[in-house]
Amino acid sequence: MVVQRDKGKPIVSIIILGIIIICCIFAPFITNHDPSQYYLDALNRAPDTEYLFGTDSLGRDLFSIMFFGGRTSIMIGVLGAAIITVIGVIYGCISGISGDKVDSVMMRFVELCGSIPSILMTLILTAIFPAKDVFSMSVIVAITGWFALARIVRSEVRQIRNSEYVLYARSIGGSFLYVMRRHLIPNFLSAIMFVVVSSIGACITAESTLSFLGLGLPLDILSWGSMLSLANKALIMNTWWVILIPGLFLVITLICITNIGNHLRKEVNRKSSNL
Amino acid sequence: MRNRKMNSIVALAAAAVLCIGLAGCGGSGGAGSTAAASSAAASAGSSAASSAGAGSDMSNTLVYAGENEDSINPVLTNHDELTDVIFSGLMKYDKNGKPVNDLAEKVDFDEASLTYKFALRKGVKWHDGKDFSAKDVEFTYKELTEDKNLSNSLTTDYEDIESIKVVDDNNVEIKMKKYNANMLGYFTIGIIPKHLLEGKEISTDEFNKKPVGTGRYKFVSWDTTGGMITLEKNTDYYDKVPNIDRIVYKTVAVESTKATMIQSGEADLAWLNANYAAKFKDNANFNTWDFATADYRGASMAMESDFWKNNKDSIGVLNYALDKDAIIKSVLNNQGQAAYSPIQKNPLGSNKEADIYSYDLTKFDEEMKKLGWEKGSDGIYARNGQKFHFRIQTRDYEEERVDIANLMSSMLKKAGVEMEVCLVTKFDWKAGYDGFLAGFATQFDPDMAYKQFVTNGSSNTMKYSNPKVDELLEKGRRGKTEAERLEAYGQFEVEYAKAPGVLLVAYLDGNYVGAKGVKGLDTTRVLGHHSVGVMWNIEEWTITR
Repeated sequence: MVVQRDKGKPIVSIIILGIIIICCIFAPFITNHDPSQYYLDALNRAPDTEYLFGTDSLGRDLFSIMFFGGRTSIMIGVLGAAIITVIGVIYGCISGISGDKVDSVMMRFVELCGSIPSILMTLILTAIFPAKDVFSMSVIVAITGWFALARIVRSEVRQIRNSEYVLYARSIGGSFLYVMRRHLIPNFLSAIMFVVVSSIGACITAESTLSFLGLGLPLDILSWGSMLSLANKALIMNTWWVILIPGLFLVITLICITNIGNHLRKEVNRKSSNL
Repeated sequence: MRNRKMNSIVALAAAAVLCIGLAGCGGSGGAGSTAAASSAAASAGSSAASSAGAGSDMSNTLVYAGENEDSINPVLTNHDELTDVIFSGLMKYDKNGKPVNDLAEKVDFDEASLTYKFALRKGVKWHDGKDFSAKDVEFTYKELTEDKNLSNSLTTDYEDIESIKVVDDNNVEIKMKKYNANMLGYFTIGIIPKHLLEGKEISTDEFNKKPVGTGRYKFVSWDTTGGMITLEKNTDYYDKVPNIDRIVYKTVAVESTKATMIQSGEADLAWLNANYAAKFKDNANFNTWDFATADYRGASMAMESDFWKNNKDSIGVLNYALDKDAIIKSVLNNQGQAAYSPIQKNPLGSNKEADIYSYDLTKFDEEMKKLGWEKGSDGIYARNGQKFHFRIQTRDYEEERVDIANLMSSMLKKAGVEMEVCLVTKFDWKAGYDGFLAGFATQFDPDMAYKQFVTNGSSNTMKYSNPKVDELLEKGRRGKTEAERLEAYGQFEVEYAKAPGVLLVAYLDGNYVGAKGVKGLDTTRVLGHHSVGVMWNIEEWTITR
């Protein structure tokens, strides 16, 4: 039984993701150059033993930027997902527990916002509040990403809101936050886990997209997205490593996260079908 | 289970292929998609053929990827390719940058009365068919000298004009208050039509969006959403009528977009930064032209910002901390020269004695200590409790300037000075930045620098003021012999180097890249800011497809 369970788990994804995250956390020990330094005697260097991932047109070491930048990107992913979870869970719980009228107004609002292409909303938001640091960037990508989660939470809550234990807790005066914490969240946690994990990937993607378009973090904050923003130049300069390596890193990280998320979703589905 | 694994492998493989495909685009020349992604301006690509001149073929049309444009009016914008081809002036610059007759058939200068007497060409027509006359000349120069609402960086060039007198339709006299050595150069400014602009607010009139001139090309249309300006050759032009029928000028700000447009054949000619231009050299499908320019880059300090008000004595010393040659080698791909004077590329400038700084960090430290700066525990200099920290703005789409600024910042940081680079989409002069990554050029006469450095000059936006510099620039402007002027400007260069307002970095070469079929560009001319002036002999150009 145990063996079979382990088989289903995305072990490879977890290991790869773990390695990437550990490398990013211990970036100062792994990298062999200063990521913010311009090595003017090594411009446009293809990957070699000194500059493992090569350098860009101003002699910045891509290997070092990769891991230092990964810190920013993963941080934005995790922070963004956390904000999404907080907003989505609270909003979903309120909506789920409220009466039909409030519920439908709240859900229509979510649908309305969800129907606006998220890239458009993000662009508008960055125009109003320019993303100056990691936190504001996370907020911007999170604000446009919580709608799906809110809907799932709401439907889960509606299923259990009339259970005796919930009714009892509320009738003896348990506050909304208490009920949410003690009775609602534990019940739908596993159901939303895959959305939360996937939103880490979504936030990383959103940051990269924005930075690629030149609307994301300032260029002096290193991230995978700001590395990709060098891609345009790289295409003209024929320096393939400048775009290929960060691209691959980003893609591999995202695949790993998706894979883990996918696994969690399957777990949930299996449980439901066991009912 | 095997299926799931297969799926993962397929997904990974697909991702890898996608990445490689993306990178491969650059080499194969199919970079259209990047161009579209990076700038909306490029989106006009496919529509160019259909809307440029109804029904006419594209074979004799030049598609030029140029700077962004707000208005086309010589009285408002001084460095601009389009005003030069749509308008013409009393004089024009020849290939050596010397003023020669254009709308004026003959010019005499009476030294006793300080009066220029112009005999105008007869039979010149405006693009709308109306006759050009001396009244238009009078109107143009009255605007430049009397219109108080005119927000123009050029007005200092014309402040010595006392009066303009129309003798008859073909003769006009301009009387000066004082002798000005480069006045003939300033008479090259394009003449604007009185019949369309009289009594109107020039700065905002819609004429600026549909200009009518007397130049080699006529304005046809301006598609502002697509960023495309169409011109047609002026078959009634009074001198040589151009060979190329039409010019489609696409307004593209982003440098990489310009490069991809050239690569994909969407544009026939563009000014590219040195690194991009190098990729087109030795490629049989493209022509490249390397012009000399008088265009320099440097950090121009806002002299009235809080920081520089107290510390303007410490701008020059920063030169010791800049390895300008390394910047030229990297950002400019060796296509440039280290800058020490703002008029260094001028025949009357280039006083080697003004080259008083060299890259030397020990010397930098010594000089900083003399000025009273002490390094703090964080390695940054401070004086009177103030850290040596200043902020300069630079536009994010100007890659070459962003790169220069970043390298400067990193070099200064190493030396103990914090220059914070703030990327902006549009220059904000009111946000309190301590300066900006600037570019200027004095490609013709050194007096072009007058308005930029003299106290309260019309293009002295950074409020530089230095009595010695004022005096020497004045001396140069009034100088009657070349020797006299050479001496004045030589001294100006030295004085300016001692107490500069611009932390000069480098002069750029002007690298133009075009399709194989574009011919006729003449690199004799020294170009101006943003390598403007390439179209000086556009009537000689040809294009074959």
